[in-house]
Amino acid sequence: MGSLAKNEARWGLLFIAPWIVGFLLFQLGPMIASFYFSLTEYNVLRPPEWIGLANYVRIVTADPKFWPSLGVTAYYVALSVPLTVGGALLCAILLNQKIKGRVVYRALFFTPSITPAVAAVLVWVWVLNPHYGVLNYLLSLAGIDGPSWLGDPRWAVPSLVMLRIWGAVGGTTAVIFLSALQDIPRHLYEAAEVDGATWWQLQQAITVPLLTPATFFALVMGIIGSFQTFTAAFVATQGGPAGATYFYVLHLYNAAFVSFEMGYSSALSWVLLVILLAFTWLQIKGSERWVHYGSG
Amino acid sequence: MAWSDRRLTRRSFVGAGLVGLGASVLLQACGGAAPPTAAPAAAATAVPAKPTTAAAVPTKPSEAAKPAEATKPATAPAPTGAPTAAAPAQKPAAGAAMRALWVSQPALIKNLETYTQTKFGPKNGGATMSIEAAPPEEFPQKVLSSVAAGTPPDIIRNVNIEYFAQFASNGILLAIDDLIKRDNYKSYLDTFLPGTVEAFVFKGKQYGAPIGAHPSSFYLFYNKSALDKKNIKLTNLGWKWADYVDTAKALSDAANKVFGSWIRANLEGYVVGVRAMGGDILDETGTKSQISSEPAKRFWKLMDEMINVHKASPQPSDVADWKPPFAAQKIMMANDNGYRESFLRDMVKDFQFDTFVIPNEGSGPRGALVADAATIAAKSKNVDLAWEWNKGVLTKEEGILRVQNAQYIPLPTQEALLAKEALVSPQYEFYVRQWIDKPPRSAPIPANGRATEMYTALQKGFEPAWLRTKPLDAVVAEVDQAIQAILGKSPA
Repeated sequence: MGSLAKNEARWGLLFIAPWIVGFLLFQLGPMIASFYFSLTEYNVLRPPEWIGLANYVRIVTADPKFWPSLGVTAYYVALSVPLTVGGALLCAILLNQKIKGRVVYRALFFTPSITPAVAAVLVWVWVLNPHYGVLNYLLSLAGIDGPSWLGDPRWAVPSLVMLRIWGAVGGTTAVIFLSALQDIPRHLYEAAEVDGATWWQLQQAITVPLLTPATFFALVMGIIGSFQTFTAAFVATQGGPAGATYFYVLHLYNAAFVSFEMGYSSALSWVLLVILLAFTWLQIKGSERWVHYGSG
Repeated sequence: MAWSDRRLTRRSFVGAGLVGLGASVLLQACGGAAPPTAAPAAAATAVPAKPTTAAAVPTKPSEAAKPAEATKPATAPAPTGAPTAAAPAQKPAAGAAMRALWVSQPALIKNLETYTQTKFGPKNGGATMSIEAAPPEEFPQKVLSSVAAGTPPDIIRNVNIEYFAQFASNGILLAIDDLIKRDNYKSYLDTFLPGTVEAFVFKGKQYGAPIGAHPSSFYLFYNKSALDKKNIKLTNLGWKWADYVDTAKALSDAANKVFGSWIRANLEGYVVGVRAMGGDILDETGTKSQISSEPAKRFWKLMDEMINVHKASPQPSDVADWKPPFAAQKIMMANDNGYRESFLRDMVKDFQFDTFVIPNEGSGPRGALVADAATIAAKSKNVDLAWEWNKGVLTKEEGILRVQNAQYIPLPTQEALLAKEALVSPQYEFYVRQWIDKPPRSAPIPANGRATEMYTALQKGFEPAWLRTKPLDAVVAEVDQAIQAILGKSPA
């Protein structure tokens, strides 16, 4: 490594130092502590009592809400991730068109992602009210009797997915796609066009392959984020109706702050981490088949 | 490419990491000194209080027999600022700044702030009370984190049927028996309505006095104009549930999404409803679920039929707050707490509303007492001052102001409830007199203190019944099992 490279490495470390220090101070310590607590019976107010793996055994063998909450979360992930990532890609393609007022559209689409989540959910609860909400009123004008969006177990998760799509499609994922789209060298399209490629062929042969790194990133982050979904269910449904939106993190929260079982709740957190690591590992392994990095 | 260069960079990196880790451990150690102490409130009182009202909060017989053990600290010494029986009230430090953790109740908080600034502060050397509000769902999180961080507030808002028992059993709250004795305050507390002061007794210790209380959702609000049109008069206090169902059916108009009734579907609604059938949620010891009892089943059948057969009530998950649809004449009758009448006076413009009571086919009085207290934190450094603040909000005058200005739960003394200035409307007076005539027992608290857990399980557990995702009997059995499992857990 030459002096220039060494200098760059120093600067690089300096720039990421705030994150590293923050991680070591505020995240690593609590993570280690939570792993320890997961092996104890602990309610914050009394000293922890060592119980070994009992919390983990209880999770998989004796917790009647563990598997259902995992199932509900998996359903939400399966529904929300493809729609959110697909929607963000579509949004990015639209916002990449040379149209008048493009900057204004980009700002407008981005706005939901920076709206405070609780405020947004409360507005949506009003919009989705089956008797007095705007959405069913609009549907009734078209002669459609709208469902009880958040009150019907069949519609509750799709309704929360709708909220997620509203909040996420124009947000950071779309910005990443937009950036990736703008990074695709123009000359590749021009060369293909000279060879007579159609629009569809251009997308198939150039856009989609060159967007795969961004798509991969969006999928990984989307799955992690969706597994951790909490706010909408906490505010709008508290896990109802009939457990239809009782997500894993809501279960974890209730264990901690309703039952005061911090040790058990910590164990639930580590199980979630293992699940997310497994999913991410599978995605990384799978990505070798479909993600194309330009230099390769 | 200089392996040595790379090693140098890595070493710097690892070095920085170790410094950070060291700092992290140091930070953890500093922050960790305060937490898991659980100085029990009882430790603050040198003389154990006489368990005069223990029956109000059921305890396991074995636990009741061992009061000393129940109050033994888990690890910690007694809180340093706690008073002893012999200690006289300390003169407040000039300009002492206190903190209270409260739930988001803007009107009430404004009222308490006015009291602090205009009355409490000037009398106590300019002392202040900063009231921090948290949404109800986040309240326990705030309390736990502040106590664990070693920065507890001086005052913690508590409701008897929520976290009170959990906080008391974990030593978060200060028992105030000695303060009551020292200030000869018991004679005033004796003027409170039966059951209201006892609502804050846990294992023989008094942890607070109610700044507000209500007999819960036995009160019926109804659209008088609509009933008049149907020539229905509600005058018979002894009416039956069958009469109620007939009235609700007569007032319903499915085509226009008008519901004759809305039955409060939260924990208070359950308790009051089941008691109105002659049953209860728990047995007297607080250790056995009564969810599968016949009276309880009758109530859930009634709910199910009102919603799914007669279509006279909306799904509870569709209408969480009945007042806006009531004001819009989409709901014709609703049961709730009487003090909410003050909200309706502002909301209802196009028709007349009046008030009555829900049927009661049980032998006990209607309702289930719910009370609010400003409890003192066991680790408050301003115990005497916090107690002074507390006494100030428990006066008749402040109680009346809260009813007049803050639309808040009334102070449960006859004197405050029946004061002329507090009787803000004939409907409110009807409610207050019903309560005073036959004060109900407190809502049940499990012997192990897991009240919030139990009520959450109950509230969520019945949704499948109303939504008919499972047969009613199966749901009841499942909920019964879930509640029994919670009752079987170790103390919270």
